Amino acid sequence: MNDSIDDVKLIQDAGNGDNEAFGILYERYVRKIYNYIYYRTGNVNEAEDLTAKVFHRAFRHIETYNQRGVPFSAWLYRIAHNLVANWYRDRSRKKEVALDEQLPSSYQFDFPESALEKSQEAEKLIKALRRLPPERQQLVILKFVEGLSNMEIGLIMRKSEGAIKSLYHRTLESLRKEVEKVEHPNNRKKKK
Amino acid sequence: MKEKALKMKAINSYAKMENDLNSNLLPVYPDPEFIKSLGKRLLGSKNIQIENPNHGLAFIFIGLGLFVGALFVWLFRRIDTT
Repeated sequence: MNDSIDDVKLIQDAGNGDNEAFGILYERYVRKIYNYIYYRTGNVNEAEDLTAKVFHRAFRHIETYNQRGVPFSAWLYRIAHNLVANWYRDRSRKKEVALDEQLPSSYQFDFPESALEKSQEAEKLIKALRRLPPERQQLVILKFVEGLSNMEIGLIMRKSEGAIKSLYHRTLESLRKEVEKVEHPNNRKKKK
Repeated sequence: MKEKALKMKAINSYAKMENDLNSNLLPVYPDPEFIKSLGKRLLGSKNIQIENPNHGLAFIFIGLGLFVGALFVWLFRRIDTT
């Protein structure tokens, strides 16, 4: 029954202090936001922590959210994106190493067993994905994990549909190269 | 001819990449306990509000204090004169 109530009405009610309305919005989007953060960080604890932060922030600022052509989900993804960026920044400051190098060669992505087969292929692919710039990682996750269209991704990333399409092709190309590097790490060294 | 073959190779590699992404980047399922407890924490938090200072009550106390002070001064002066 809750599915039939549209976001606009729920946001209005939540903005007026209706906790139940925010609860429905939370139930509707929490798993999507969790997925996005999970694939960006590769860690269950961080995904839970950052997901909690996203919804606390959204809850505190729901009164200030107004629908300027941006769907509620896009607003949440933007909050998530900013928090993940801050998380990476803090992490790189603390460790002072390149983010690429943080992944051990044995690759320790702690996916829940039920969700993903820990196949070598998946490991390679996700390792390569995490070597891409954040913007490209975001695009791949939104497209393949969340199943969003180029138009929806454009709203989240503040780009036109055409720009997303072009970025997508460049991303596939760079991902292909990264996969090759992951598959044959010695090739690069030999060339040098 | 060679160019066309290269183009075809690129298209095939993109298609393979898309296929790999589709089959490997599957949604993950968060711990239901986490979802439940976060929901509870979130929806319980708005009820906790910082109390707004009650200015009316403050004015009453200040007024009362001034009145009592003035009353004491008046009483002491009265005692002194008698």
